[in-house]
Amino acid sequence: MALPENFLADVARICGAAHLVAGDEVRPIGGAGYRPAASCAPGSADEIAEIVRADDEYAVPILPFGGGTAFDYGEAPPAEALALSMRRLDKLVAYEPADLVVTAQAGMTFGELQAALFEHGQWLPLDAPPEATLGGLLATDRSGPRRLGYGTLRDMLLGLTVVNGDGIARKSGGRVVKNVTGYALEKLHLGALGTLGVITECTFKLRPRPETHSVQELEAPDFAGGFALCRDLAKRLPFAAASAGFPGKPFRAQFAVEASPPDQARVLRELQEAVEKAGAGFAVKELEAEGIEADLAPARPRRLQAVTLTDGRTVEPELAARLAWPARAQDFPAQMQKLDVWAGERGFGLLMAFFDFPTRAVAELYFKLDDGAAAPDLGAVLDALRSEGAAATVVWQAPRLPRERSAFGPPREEWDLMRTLKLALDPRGLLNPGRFVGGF
Amino acid sequence: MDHEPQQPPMIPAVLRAELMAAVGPGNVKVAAEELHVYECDGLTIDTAVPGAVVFVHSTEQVVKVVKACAAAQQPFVARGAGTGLSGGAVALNNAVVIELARMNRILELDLENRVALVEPGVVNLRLSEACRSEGLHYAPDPSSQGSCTIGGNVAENSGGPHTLKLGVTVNHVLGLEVVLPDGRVVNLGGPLPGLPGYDLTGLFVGSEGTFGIATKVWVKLTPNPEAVKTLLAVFPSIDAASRAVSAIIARGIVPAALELIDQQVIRAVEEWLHLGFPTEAGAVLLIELDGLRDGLDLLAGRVMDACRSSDCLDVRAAKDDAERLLLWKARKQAFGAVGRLSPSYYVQDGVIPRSKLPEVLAKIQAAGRKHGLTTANVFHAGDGNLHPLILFDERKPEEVERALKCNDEVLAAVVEAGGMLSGEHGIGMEKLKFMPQVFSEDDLEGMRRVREAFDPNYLANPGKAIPARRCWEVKGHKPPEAEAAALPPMRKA
Ligand SMILES: Cc1cc2nc3c(=O)[nH]c(=O)nc-3n(C[C@H](O)[C@H](O)[C@H](O)COP(=O)(O)OP(=O)(O)OC[C@H]3O[C@@H](n4cnc5c(N)ncnc54)[C@H](O)[C@@H]3O)c2cc1C
Ligand SMILES: Cc1cc2nc3c(=O)[nH]c(=O)nc-3n(C[C@H](O)[C@H](O)[C@H](O)COP(=O)(O)OP(=O)(O)OC[C@H]3O[C@@H](n4cnc5c(N)ncnc54)[C@H](O)[C@@H]3O)c2cc1C
Repeated sequence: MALPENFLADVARICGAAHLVAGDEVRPIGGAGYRPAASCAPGSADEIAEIVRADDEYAVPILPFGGGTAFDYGEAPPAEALALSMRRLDKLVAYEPADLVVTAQAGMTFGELQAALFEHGQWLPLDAPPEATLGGLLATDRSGPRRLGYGTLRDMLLGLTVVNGDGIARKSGGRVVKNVTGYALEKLHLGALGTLGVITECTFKLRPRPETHSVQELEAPDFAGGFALCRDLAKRLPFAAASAGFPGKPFRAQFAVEASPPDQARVLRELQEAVEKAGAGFAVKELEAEGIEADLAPARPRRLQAVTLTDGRTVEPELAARLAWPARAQDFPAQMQKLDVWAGERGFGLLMAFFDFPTRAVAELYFKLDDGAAAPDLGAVLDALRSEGAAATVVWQAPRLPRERSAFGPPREEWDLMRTLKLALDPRGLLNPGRFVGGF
Repeated sequence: MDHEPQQPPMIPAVLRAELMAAVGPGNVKVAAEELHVYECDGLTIDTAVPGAVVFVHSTEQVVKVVKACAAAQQPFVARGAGTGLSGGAVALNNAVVIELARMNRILELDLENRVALVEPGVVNLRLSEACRSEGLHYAPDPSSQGSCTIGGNVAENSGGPHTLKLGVTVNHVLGLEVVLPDGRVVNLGGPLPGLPGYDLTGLFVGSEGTFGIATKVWVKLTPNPEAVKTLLAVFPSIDAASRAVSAIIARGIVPAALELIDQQVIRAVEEWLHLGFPTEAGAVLLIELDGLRDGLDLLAGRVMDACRSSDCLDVRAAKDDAERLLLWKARKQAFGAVGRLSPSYYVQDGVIPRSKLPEVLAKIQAAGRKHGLTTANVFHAGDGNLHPLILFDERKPEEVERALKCNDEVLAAVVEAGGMLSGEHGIGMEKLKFMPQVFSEDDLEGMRRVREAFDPNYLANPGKAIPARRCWEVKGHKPPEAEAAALPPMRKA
């Protein structure tokens, strides 16, 4: 499990021996305890570029990482690899509050950035853990419940600097809020799991912090009734976020209201009225204010490895998947019922499915193997899910489950084109090889 | 516009026969007088006569036409309504124009889930009209929305007054069916969010027809706001108006729309349409606020405060819908009104940080004065997206020279302020030579590689969007023919 000596010597020379560890000293990354052969922490984008160029000769896989909070996502990482910590690239590069635009290095954490923005009454309205880095957020393109009110990271990203697989630093986009100058290569890196380039610097469009913030929890006697009411509310009123869980016994949904005082009063009033009109068993109450920076959906797991159910119990899931149905949102409850039964028959208990309103039939599902069930053929389970017409991505699986098939499902026709793009920007296949769709 | 007589270029007879077989002889134009109609887009400065114009009616026909072009190594260029303002639809290198205006069906309208599937030739405004009764609309609203197509919007990543708050085309496109330059059909993205893989939809939007032809587009539909308030703020000078824009943004207010119209344009509009705008004002801001009716007055009060703090002479709200529409009519007809003032105008599209508006607008005025030309401004101020119009007479070569010099200085001011060359009209052929001012050769080389992943032989709209490998010397205002088509295909590692 050793990397070429000469390569390690190059890396030590480039970023300083103090910033390179190899062998037993390397600390594991991510929940599954992955241990790369060596790990380095370059201090600048130039150093990253130089390391990648040095690797041209050795073709050692290079795995950038930030907080390691989503490192288990994607196909299994190669054993003989150099992990590249982004944590020393943690500076604010340019922040002009009057423009509502910020540029930061990619190793800065979301928490650090948010704190700097809060000082000027601004923020990046995302639901992300404070220890996640900006680069990690971009590479996984994760958005939480606030996507309803603010859109996703894709809507906020204005420009990027990356080091591509040929060791050349390249810039795309800009620092202006609207821009069609040159191809939008910055979009390519969103959700690309670091397979096309190491993100070194990023520019975002910001929002002013809302004047008020409140989280309301709605309770309903049954799933179908609660679902219909929530969906109607989320379509009618401007919530910052609206989400719920299935099976949801009892059914509970969280609504975030972030608005000017008169708008907030109006939304809260209508929420109250809707619940009263809905009748017995429906109720709404304000959840304790945790501050705007708090994770919005209290029920949403803060780590993939622990799910809190609506009855308050915390359970460790063994499989987490993201599912999208080609169906209409109004059919969602029926589909969830079917899925629940269906998973149960295969020895997988559906712990919880989280989704946002007004849902586009997408959910994040957490399963646990039933007690005493034999280790299932995970690939077969996912194939069956997909045969229901769903696009299913494995987000997390317990190390004890066999990892035999693609986390991203069977190849799709457009993956050919994606492979060509990978070759164009990482011709030697150095960056996170094999970790994304299609094994490239 | 080019006044020298040009012979129509010829395409090979075999190709012509194949095109006719693909779409029927009646849908292929090769006669000189018919081709000249297609020699430019909305930017009449750059022209080239196409090798042929082909009207397509279905994806299958597009595939056949593209395959025929690929076999003959004949470049092709998609065309929607031809309203582009960067020469994007100009057929360089004898390209075959693939005219998509007849692929104009709305294929699916899923009102419950607020998505629609449309063909690329659907006119922007028609889509909004089709769902208006359900309280929805298609948000990107270029001023040309009465004629431009969704396909053209996708290719340019078009914006509009209301994209300030709601986002430009890319924020409203969920997926695409694309005919690649080798004739393969691929689906990128789709109505389902969260498909794994690279964001090819986001990459394709804004690629100016250089990655292939969009034949179907999945779009989001947006609910109409419950209430709208439109303000007209009058300022003594363009400087004061632009300071007000910066003040509004700096207060963290993002209006639905925030447009600046200067005195030149106000006068042009008044002369033509007599809408009652203050012709003595240095500039006006058209500010639209929307949302729940409850919070609108509070918001309007804050916007008015920001205006007053910037020496505003008068600010008031449109009293009813009729007055509101009148204000918008002035904005949407502004280019047309300026067109009546001057035989020609050059419209630029630079975009700058919003705090730099006063500084850059002053430089634009200075550049106009220096070259003895009138400049006019009507633009999406809230985004920092300038549209300086440089008025000139194209019949006077010397004046054209001055206009081009003035234009160069305007773009230099934009770049110096940390801005970019285009906010929504695209690079096309017209801004190519400026690209090295904002991107390094390495950046551009990366873009070329991406282009070659889609189109290794540079058949799709060659000579647009990004400069070709060898830097060409732009002589006068007529870029030479693209030489990109001569490049060898990329070697795959
Ligand atoms: C499917 C999924 C589910 C998630 N669920 C939860 C959850 O339940 N709770 C929660 O709190 N958070 C969750 N996260 C969010 C996660 O914390 C964020 O995605 C986070 O932004 C990752 O940041 P990081 O710095 O920890 O990235 P890392 O875990 O360090 O890296 C994640 C991936 O990004 C790549 N990467 C990192 N930095 C760069 C860079 N600079 N350039 C290029 N590539 C880079 C890595 O190679 C790796 O593939 C989830 C993420 C995903 C993808
Ligand atoms: C008066 C006026 C006002 C304008 N206002 C605005 C404005 O407010 N905001 C704004 O953004 N723009 C504006 N424009 C510019 C123009 O209307 C837009 O760029 C529009 O999107 C062009 O659409 P079109 O159908 O006319 O495309 P065309 O001009 O026909 O083509 C534009 C480009 O798109 C490509 N293309 C067309 N269809 C396809 C397809 N299906 N697949 C792939 N490529 C394709 C062409 O090859 C070409 O490169 C304005 C133009 C005018 C004349």
